[in-house]
Amino acid sequence: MLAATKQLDTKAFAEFVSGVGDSVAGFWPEIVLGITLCAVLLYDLVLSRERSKNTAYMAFGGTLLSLALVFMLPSEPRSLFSGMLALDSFSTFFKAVILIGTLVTVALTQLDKENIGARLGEYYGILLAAVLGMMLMASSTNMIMIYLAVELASLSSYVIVAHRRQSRIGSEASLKYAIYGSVASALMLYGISLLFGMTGSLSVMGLADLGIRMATDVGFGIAVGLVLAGLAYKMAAFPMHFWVPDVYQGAPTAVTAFLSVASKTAAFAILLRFMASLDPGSATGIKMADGGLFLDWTSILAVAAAVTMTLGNLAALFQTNIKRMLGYSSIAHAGYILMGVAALEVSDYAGFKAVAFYLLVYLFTNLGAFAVVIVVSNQVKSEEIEAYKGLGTRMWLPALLLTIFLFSLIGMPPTAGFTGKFLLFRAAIDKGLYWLAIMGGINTAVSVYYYMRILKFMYLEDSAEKTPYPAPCLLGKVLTVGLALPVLLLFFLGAAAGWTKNLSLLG
Amino acid sequence: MSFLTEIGLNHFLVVSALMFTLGMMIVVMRRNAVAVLMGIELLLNSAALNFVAFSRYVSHDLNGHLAAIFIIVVAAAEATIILAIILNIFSHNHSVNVDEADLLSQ
Repeated sequence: MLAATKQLDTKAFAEFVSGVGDSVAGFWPEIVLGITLCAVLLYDLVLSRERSKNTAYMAFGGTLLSLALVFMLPSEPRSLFSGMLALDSFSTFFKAVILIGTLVTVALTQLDKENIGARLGEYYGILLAAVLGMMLMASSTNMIMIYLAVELASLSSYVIVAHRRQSRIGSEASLKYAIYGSVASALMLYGISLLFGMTGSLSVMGLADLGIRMATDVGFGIAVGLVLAGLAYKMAAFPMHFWVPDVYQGAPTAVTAFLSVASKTAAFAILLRFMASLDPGSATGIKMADGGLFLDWTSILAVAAAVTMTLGNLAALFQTNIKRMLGYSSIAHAGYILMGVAALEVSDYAGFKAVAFYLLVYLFTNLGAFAVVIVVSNQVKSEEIEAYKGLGTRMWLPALLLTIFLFSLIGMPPTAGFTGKFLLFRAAIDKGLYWLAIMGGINTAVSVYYYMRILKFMYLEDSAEKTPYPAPCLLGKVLTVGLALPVLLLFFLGAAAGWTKNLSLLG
Repeated sequence: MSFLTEIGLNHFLVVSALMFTLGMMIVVMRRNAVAVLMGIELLLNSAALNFVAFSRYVSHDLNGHLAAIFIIVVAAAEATIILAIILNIFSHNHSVNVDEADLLSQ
């Protein structure tokens, strides 16, 4: 048998080569990003360790070019590299979201430079490697490809979290992140190996008929559960959420901002693709032979969503450090977004659109909030919420913008957070998950307390010192205002919702 | 007694499940960060064993073998990075005990 396969079939080989050639046309954004990351690392290594600004420009330019190429990708859904990756509007959307987040992160890093310290060239190289992993996460349709993409993103994230070597809390955060993260991805890998044993194939598309065939199998439930646990780690969702506050507090603020949006977005992209493949058409859940539901993924995700948002919101109430509070708030938001995944209806994509739109809104909102945290801590030298006392008069512009971002995190009009939450709640209600929508409503009410507490400190409490701080630097102003604009505009522009309307999935 | 004379898929799966359980127990119970890393390696290798066994008995192609090779590479990269992080925390704490890294959760 081996002898027969050893003989090279020239015709099949020629087809394979031309297939790879065709696939490269849909792979340019990743190629450009890969070249940029090598160029940044080489520049840093060979030419200069001091001129970190040049590496920042290179990283920014490469990401911008990659983003432009993403918008130029053909919209026709097709498969790349013999089924490894999918090129569809779904992956294109998520790639764009991740790349916009990266552009802002590069700028935030320059803003937070004093805090992050030296060796910025390495930092940008590894950041771009993480972004490459996340872009692959958004488009993988092969389970080994998913695992490799997740590991590329994770391993690079461990390194940039550990970038401040001299900081004790930084290295502690990276230890926790790396150990918990490795266990989570090992769980996912074990689940993938079991799924491979059941289907005999590594393709995600192969899972669809497995969902019917393995209807009553406990092992199938365990395998999918393990994969979901690994993804929950990257999404910061229950039961793998406990690392979030420590890592968010210990990492440099720019890295925290990056992890809170890009990592989450990529993980939700995989989750959506995975759940859509698992779901054999209209019926969700795995039917038993007698018609009863053995494992109902809708309910499991709904319970995970409810627990995630409740845990995040309750813990956020008692935080004194603003990064730690935003960490718990990030857990709560993973819960809200999971609500949309639970309401996933493959036939009309309502859950899809809500999740995609919310991730876009969350990108601008959370990056904006962290940008203000950096601007404030550059002046005030503190990340404690106490330090925000009297900021409304002493630093009027950052305080005003932080108000907008916090309103959007609450989900109050006229900010985009309201539109996003509205879509998520409507998806849940349309699906008949009334209890989940009510839980979401209660949680939103709870969250008002800890977001408003910051506003109370900023505007109603006076600090001993009254003199205004000097105005933030130009980059700080441009970034914070530039992030506040989409947060306001996405509420008014229905066009953004239209952009997510024609998202389609390969397969 | 045929399960003693003929080695089949189930034998591999049982060994892999035992390795997975041992790895998980090490991760949960050991406090030394290097030992925890060894537990993680066991977890990864149990999955690799699964892949190879399924490739031999279920799919009859090379996909599983390739997956195992990728896993070995990723495990090496992961070990390198985690060891570097452990070295870094050792220079701060003078200990690699994961329980002593508790500055953040107070």
